[in-house]
Amino acid sequence: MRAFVGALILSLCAWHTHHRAEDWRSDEALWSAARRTAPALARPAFNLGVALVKEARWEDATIQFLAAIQLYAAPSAWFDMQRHAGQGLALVDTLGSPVCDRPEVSPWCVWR
Amino acid sequence: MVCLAMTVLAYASSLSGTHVYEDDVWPTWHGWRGALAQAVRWPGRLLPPLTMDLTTAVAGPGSTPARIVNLGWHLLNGLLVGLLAWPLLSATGAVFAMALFWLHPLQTETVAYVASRPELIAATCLLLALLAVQRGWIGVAWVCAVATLLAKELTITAVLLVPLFAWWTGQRWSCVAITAWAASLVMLAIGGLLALHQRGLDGPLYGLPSIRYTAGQLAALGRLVLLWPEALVHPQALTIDHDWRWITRPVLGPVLALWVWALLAAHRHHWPWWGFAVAWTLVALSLRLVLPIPDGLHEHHLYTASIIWSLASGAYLFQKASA
Repeated sequence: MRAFVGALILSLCAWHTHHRAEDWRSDEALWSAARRTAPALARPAFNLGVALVKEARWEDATIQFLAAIQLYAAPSAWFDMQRHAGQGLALVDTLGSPVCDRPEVSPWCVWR
Repeated sequence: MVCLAMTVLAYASSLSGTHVYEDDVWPTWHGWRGALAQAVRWPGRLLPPLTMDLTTAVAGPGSTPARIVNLGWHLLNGLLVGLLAWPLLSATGAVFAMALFWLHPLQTETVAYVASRPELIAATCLLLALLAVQRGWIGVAWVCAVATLLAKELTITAVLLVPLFAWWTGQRWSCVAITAWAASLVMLAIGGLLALHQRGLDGPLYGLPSIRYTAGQLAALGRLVLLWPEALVHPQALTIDHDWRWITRPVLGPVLALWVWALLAAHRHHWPWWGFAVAWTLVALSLRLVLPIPDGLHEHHLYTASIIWSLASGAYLFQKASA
């Protein structure tokens, strides 16, 4: 009986580890998984936006950067989310589509 | 062999992945020359860049060779866990502990994330220290425990974990050994404080230690500890970023009380496996619980603690109530 329980536990572990390891294949997979688990956190949204910029998915990146700005509750001494996400939006505007003209995006675009 | 194959298969899908998050930063760890130069000023993290450089020299750049090395290192650590468990548990229990350490989904962040290489190397040093102390080689154990500094600074708690393990497994050291070990602890503590002062203890990255900060960290640690059983039925709870916003002032008092109660209960029951696991976890993460580091607590920080969790799980499933 104990052997059966042990084998069951190990099988469950292997199965879940296999699926969790797939989340670590890429930045997009990793931060998408983090967004699903903690949808109210700003950092996964910001990092997902960065990952999407690297893949030239400008519209999706814009959505994530705006989400990061809206989710970030208080300014931090060591990471200014509004500034960093705003720079991300400016980058999307420069490299991809001109998103900073949009009324919902323009207040946040931060240029160097 | 079956468990080893299962572990390789479980991680196979991640081996061909790209660099993620801080992996893009860590592989440029200045190569071996930079690592040696850094080690003169600050001994922490000498070994990880050396291993990264060696991997690149042998297998070329890219994330796949680094991930394969991470997996291999994790398999090595699992073998060492099995060796450690062999005298403490039944044969089946030791094999189960080893396999659980290999396969538990909580380990994924440490294994699949190249930037967690310091945790892997530190665990190897700690396991070698525990194996040495199990055989009564206290000097060798000390060298291995201090060697964790070369992997990751905060894993120097190994010098506390080794005597804890020795005490719990019923070893009795001579006065000379105890005095020498205690003296080395004092010297390491002084060195650590000087290094922290040099880096600006009251600078922008560090605040002063406080009970409130420690209580908050204990709350986070408690949540992460619960992931050990929870991940078996709710693996979606595993994430690189946990939501800690529930840790507010009203929670801190009960959290502190819960941890104190756990320690007192463990003492009252003469430190069974679960009690030892509680003490081990607190000591392993003691520096992170006390020093106000903005990094926060993540799943890969539990890699060292999971050594004893695996052993305890093997002990309870295959019935060995105490060492």
